[in-house]
Amino acid sequence: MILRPRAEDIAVIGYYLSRIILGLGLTMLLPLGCAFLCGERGPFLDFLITVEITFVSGLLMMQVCRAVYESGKKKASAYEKSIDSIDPNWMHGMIMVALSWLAAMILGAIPLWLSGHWNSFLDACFDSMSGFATTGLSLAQDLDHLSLTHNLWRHFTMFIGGQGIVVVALSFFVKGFSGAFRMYVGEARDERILPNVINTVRFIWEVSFTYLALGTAALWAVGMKNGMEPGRALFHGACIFMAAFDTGGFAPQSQNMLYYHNYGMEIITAVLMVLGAVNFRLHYHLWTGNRRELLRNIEMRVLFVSILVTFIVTAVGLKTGGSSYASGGFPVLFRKGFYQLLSGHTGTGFMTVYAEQVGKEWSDLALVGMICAMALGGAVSSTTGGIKMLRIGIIAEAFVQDIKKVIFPSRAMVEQKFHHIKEVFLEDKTVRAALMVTLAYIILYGIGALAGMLCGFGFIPSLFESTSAAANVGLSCGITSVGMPAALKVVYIFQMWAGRLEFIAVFTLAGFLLAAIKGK
Amino acid sequence: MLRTLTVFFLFSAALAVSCRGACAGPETVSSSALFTDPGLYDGRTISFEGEVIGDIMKQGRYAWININDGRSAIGVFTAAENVAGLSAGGYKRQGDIVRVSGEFHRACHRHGGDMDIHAGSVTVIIKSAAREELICPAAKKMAVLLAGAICLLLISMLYGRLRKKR
Repeated sequence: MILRPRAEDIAVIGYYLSRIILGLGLTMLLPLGCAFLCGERGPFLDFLITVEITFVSGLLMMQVCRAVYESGKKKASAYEKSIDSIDPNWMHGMIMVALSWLAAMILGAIPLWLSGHWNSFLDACFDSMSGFATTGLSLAQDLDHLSLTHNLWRHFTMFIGGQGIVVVALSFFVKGFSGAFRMYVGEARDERILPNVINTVRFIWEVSFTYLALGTAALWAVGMKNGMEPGRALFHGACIFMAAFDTGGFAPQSQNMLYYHNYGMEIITAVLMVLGAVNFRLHYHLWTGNRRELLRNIEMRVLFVSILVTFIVTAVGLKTGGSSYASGGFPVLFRKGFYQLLSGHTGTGFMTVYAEQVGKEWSDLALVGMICAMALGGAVSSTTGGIKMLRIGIIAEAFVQDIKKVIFPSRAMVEQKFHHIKEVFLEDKTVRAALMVTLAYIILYGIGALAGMLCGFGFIPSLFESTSAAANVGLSCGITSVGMPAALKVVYIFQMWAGRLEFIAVFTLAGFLLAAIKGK
Repeated sequence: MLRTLTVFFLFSAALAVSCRGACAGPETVSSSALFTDPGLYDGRTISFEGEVIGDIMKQGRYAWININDGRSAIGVFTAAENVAGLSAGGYKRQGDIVRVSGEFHRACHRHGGDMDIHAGSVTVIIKSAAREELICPAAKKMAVLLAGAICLLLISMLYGRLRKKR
């Protein structure tokens, strides 16, 4: 029998969701300040309205949920604590996370829609989810005339989403929030770096801000050397950093990274993309001087092999498929092929080629290489999407273990272990969890591909675009455009959301809604 | 005689058409055409028109500009002297509308495989101008109304807390 959720459960979820919404409202003060400083009156008004709507909805939700909870408390003695001090359980935490990402998408889309650069609110929601989920697919119109404020917001959503919306909210509301870990896990961060989740969140910010300063400075210097004005080079440097380190893939101009025509820019962003694809737990060990971990860690080893193999497939596809890069020799093939591949594998989505070129000039073999790279993704507890290297490593170890069991005498005890921060013995439950998530991703990639084909696109382009959306990559072969069917836009939004949260929070929300409808 | 006159007339017409083509300069191509069939224009001298957007990136004797024809932007590599005095477009400004003539590269070997145009000439067709910022009066009213709503909510929350304390 399915039990219908109690009003008090909904009140607790709504109450903490309102706090996350208020936290999101505070982050919008940054673009508001930017608009004021840059003298962009229209964008200032867009963001003022959005901040106000965010605060009104957050405060209103807080009041209503508090009132509902208090009225329930009077009826049942089970609710002894006040709503402020209640400890959200696993269900509360997961649903809060799933809903907070949807709320962020809607609220984050308001200033984009008000700017007039997005054809509809759905298009603005698409870009907003793409930003928060660090995907990078975009439906923006006339991006080259977009204000600095809106451009900053687009990239800032990636910075927020990359660390995690709940991580941001936890940073604002630290006191009295013991259910933090449940929400932290809901955002697909299943590894605590430090024993305390708040310290973990602080470490994530410390890493992010340090790299923000270093990365922006490097990109700023290269931008100025490239002939850009200092102010604009700084702005572009900060935006590109946020999109690279958070493996997002937005860029301030419509040509994406091709705009700069600069090798130095490509090298720096390649380094940042790889740093973004590394587990924050591994960052911690590197920061504390344990550099050997970089070579021993299963995720880094699998990532290296995976990049190598998928690049070989892509390069052979480009060389033999009659691509225009083949005639330029290996340097051209490497610069174009490897950059797109690294961008796809790390889930970033930066492009130094046009989407139309990928769709028309890249052979099926090259596209398959790219699809595999995008589908696999980076490390767990990083800002990348996709199946992730740890799971691939675990599945590979399980295969090795099974083969050993067949080869070795039946009485032999076969134990398999791998190195991930420490030596870990392979257990069936670990393999099962890895396989479940992998299967869920494959189904998600398939759903998007099927939707693309139903809309009249070919199999390989549909699978390419679907994998790009679900693995939060952002590379496009030309399907993502303003003119694509609204249903396909909705499917891609769902894929970006489910892919970023790694399903558990989404499944919990689905179960909760089912219980609300069918429960007794 | 009639046959000679006809041949002479046809020859003159053909000569006139070919001369007109030669005087008009290279063919003006849109970005759509370049993306649809890049192989057709690869290595050929073309003319491309559009707005200079973003930045004028001077690097010594050469410079990069990006030109948007309304559908897509394409990188143009040219001598620095050709971009002197150009204004690039952005949020507050419509950039110069220019016509560039030069060699189109589907995947330029000199520039790491970028699709670009190596332009010999850059001609300004329309000078840049400031873009007007349109602000909706209803948006201002909405901002004031929402500010009032926030104040009311904060007052009610404060009142609720005070009542609870008493």
